[in-house]
Amino acid sequence: MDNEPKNIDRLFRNQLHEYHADPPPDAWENIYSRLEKKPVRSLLFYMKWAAASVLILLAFGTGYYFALYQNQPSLAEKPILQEKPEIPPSTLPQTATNPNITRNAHKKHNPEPDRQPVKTITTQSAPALLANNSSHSGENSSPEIPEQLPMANMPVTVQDISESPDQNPAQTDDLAEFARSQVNPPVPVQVPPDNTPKMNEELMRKLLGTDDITPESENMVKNSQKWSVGGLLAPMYSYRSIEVIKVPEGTELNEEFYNQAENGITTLSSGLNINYAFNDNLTLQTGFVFSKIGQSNSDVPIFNEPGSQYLMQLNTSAGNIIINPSKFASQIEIQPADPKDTTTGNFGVNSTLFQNFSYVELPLVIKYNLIDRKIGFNVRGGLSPGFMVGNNSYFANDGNKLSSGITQDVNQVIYNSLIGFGIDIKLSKSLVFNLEPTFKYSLFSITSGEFVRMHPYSVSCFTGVSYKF
Amino acid sequence: MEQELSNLLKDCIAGKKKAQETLYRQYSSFLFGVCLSYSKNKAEAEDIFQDGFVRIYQNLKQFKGDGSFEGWMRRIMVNTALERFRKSNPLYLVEDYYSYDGDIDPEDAVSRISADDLLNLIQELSPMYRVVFNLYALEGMSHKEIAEKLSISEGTSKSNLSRARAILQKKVKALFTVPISHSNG
Repeated sequence: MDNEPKNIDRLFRNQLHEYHADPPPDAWENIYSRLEKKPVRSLLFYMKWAAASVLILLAFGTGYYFALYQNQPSLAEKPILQEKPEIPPSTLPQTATNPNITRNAHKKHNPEPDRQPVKTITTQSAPALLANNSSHSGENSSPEIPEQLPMANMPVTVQDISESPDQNPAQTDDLAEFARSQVNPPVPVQVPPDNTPKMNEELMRKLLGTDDITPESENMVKNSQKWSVGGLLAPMYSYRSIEVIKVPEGTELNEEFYNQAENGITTLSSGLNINYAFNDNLTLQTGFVFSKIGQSNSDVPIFNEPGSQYLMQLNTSAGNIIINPSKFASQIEIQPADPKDTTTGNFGVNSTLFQNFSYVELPLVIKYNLIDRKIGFNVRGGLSPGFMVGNNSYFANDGNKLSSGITQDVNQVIYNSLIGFGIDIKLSKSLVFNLEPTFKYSLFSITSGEFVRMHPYSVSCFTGVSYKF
Repeated sequence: MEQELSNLLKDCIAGKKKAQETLYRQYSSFLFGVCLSYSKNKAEAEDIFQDGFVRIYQNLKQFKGDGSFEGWMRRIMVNTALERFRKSNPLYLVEDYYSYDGDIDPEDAVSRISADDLLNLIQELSPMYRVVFNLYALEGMSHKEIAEKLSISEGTSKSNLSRARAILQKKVKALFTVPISHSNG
């Protein structure tokens, strides 16, 4: 009994395990049409990836900005009194003390308490010192001077100093004064008014704080707005230059044929830019741009796909598009018998074929400001490599679109060079309107086929608003 | 040959239509035969075939080349058929073991019954019998594996196999005991 089931099993297994039967003729067309839908999902995937990249960029940029901001508090917020400078007592100059000089005493000479320490050190008013300290900057600024000087408890004033005219100038080193004041406050400083040692400019600026308006302090405000971000939108005309390396046998597919049949197209680009200003003139620009280039073809030839029973190929300079002809019966015409009146190919089409290649570009551009006023002018140049996120084509006829699938043998990456100029209109302190006519040219061929080399180029005018922070 | 297949698969993965069609033409009749064994008719087989083939293209990257490519494709087709079976057939249990009578000589039967005849017999089975019999006899699965695949007990798998065998046994006998009327009919 055990043997019987095995027999019947073996009978069916031997006969049916390798059983072959031809599927219905239209099965492949149905499978093929379902396979063609896949790129839509890929585009969505890349767009999500691009959006995530931008978010990461923004997060890092914002984090970097706040890190800078927190590490460099404004000078007004800086505590003036810091830890004591560590200077050995033996290096301090020997000066006499004046117990009569107190903090209260100099308040009546200067009603602004915040400025008192400054005047104490320099023995001059601030403007006077700024005017003539350049000749002293090297002499008296010791490299050992700590950045945060102990000024708050410096008790001497201009008045005080003038009361002690015998002080040796050699003993009036600024650093020594501060250090000594920490050791033995209060201390009189005796310096002849006409031979006052000066502090270097940077130290002076720190001591003065941001309330003092000097050309440099203005620049500091300006330089703090190094970052800017903005959105951009651009109408873009794209076409290509081609070089036919090899004309397929029995065809007339040369440059002249392609150039007559194919035309450029106009599309829309959009994106986001991130700018970093090294200085007033030089800015690095990056970000991302969604761009779409391509061409239209009003006279595309069609051939039978070699080795296929079902398929045909549309021939373009960018590469072949393999189609299932049953979908395009209304577009395809058999070529007339007279070869003089025909284009190359076994068939022709009666509607226009559009080919589109979409990219996410990550530009790296240097901007140089030639005019930096309310209406500024700059020149720009750099690279804008793009990663393909879409490759599609369609027939357009009477407003209807009929998808015809991807163009074969197109590279996934495009290496654009970029050149252009820009006009910046400052709408407010932080808001700038940008107008940037741009020319892009692909440095390498985007096709990997054996017949044609193709270098797309585009002319666009990016417009947008950027925000400085 | 392996290199040729490897190149073909690479082109298919890259989305090259010509390669996809070549693959289809090489294996379509074999895989459609598999689908027929798991269907009640050609229309159902075609549905399974199309779903399965699309799945094959979409999963080509997962084929590591460490086994037979035909076997890998066959498994995908069978799984597609089982998925359809689970969706469209509420499972029913057959608890009693069915005993069948008589026997056949497979060598004799082979000489007198064509594969098409056997396929028809398979297709006439109820869906549950057909699936269990195919998984056991054609795919070589154990009852434990079948039970896991179909979410049934091993006992149910055994009883369905017994019933399927009994039915097939009867019909095979009927076929080769009246060969003239069959071949003329």
